[in-house]
Amino acid sequence: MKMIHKEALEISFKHQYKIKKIFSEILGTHDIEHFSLDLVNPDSEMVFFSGTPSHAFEICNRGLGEYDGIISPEHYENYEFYWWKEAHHKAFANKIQAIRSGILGLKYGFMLVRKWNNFHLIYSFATKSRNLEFQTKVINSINDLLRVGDWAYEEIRPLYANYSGIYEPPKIDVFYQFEGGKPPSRRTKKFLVTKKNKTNILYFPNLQKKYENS
Amino acid sequence: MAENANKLVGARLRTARKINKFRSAKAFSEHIDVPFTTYSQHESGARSMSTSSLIKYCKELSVSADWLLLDLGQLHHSDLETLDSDFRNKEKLLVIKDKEIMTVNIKLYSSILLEYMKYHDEISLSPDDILEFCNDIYNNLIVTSADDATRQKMIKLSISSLLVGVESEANKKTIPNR
Repeated sequence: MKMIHKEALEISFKHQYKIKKIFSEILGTHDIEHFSLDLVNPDSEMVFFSGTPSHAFEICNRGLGEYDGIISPEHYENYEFYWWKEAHHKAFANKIQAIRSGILGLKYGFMLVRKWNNFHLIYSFATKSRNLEFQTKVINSINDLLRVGDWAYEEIRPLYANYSGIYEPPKIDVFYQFEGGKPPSRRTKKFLVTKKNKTNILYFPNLQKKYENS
Repeated sequence: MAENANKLVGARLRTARKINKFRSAKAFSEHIDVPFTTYSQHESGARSMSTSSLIKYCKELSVSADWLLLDLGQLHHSDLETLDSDFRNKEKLLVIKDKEIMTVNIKLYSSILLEYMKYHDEISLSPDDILEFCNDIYNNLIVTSADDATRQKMIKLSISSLLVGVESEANKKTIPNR
């Protein structure tokens, strides 16, 4: 079930300057003209940090957020990579596509998904170009794009900590190449279960050993 | 080089004229009792202006000589309020920029500029960076179906992010190295 943070539509406007500064390093490479981080905490609550704030805003404002397949758990929990067009809801595909392609000018888009410490980190990329070679370029550059996404997430992570509920967003300190299929579930070196509002920390040394050895 | 300088001065003169609600160069030249050919050449940059003309223009248009000649300092907030009140009820304005004709929702753009002007003295960015950021806000909001109240809220959030971001960058620069 998809849950969108109560401030989700405002966050990209509220932090527009910082997001723009960080994402400007990404835009223009590999024909990418839109980038956003769609971050899902272990409670399945989603937050958007978008270089195109109007994207999520307009889709949700028109009541189509619930039907947008590209941010549905059905896709991000099961696919490490998927094109936007593969995730369209059957009944509302045309309406959503009209907003993306017609109004916002985003012709081709795709998602790359990481899973760390039960967070889903969804890297959303798109181009406004009609270049048919874009899809080939993406496949050939997929690990570069993952690096870009990891880097952008690390830059945004301190900000995201304000919206991740009781969970600390994971710090990615290892790069993993694209594997395909379901997003592999990974753990950071110190996987702690913490409650932000309480002082007691639960630490599972046995679990940590298990993940270090796997 | 002098030719280019005259054109830049002329462009600022044209901007100041429009902000003061003189729709045509002819109307303004009649108002200040300057021959139309003289004024239009000053505005087009075809001719450099005398000191007495400079003083007259600055006085009539309420702009500083520094700004008109050298693009130093700023146009005052009240100028933008005047612009906004003049175009408040109009949705679009034809704007001539570098010989291209752009259609702009002046109501939306004015809202953005007015919000920015509240913090103008606190934000130390180049005019190009400010304009680019305001354009980004505009481009994001113009495509949405949000109502005026929601747009205004998003404008406030975006401009606030600019203030916070610039302050944060300034603080990082002033932290001494260990």
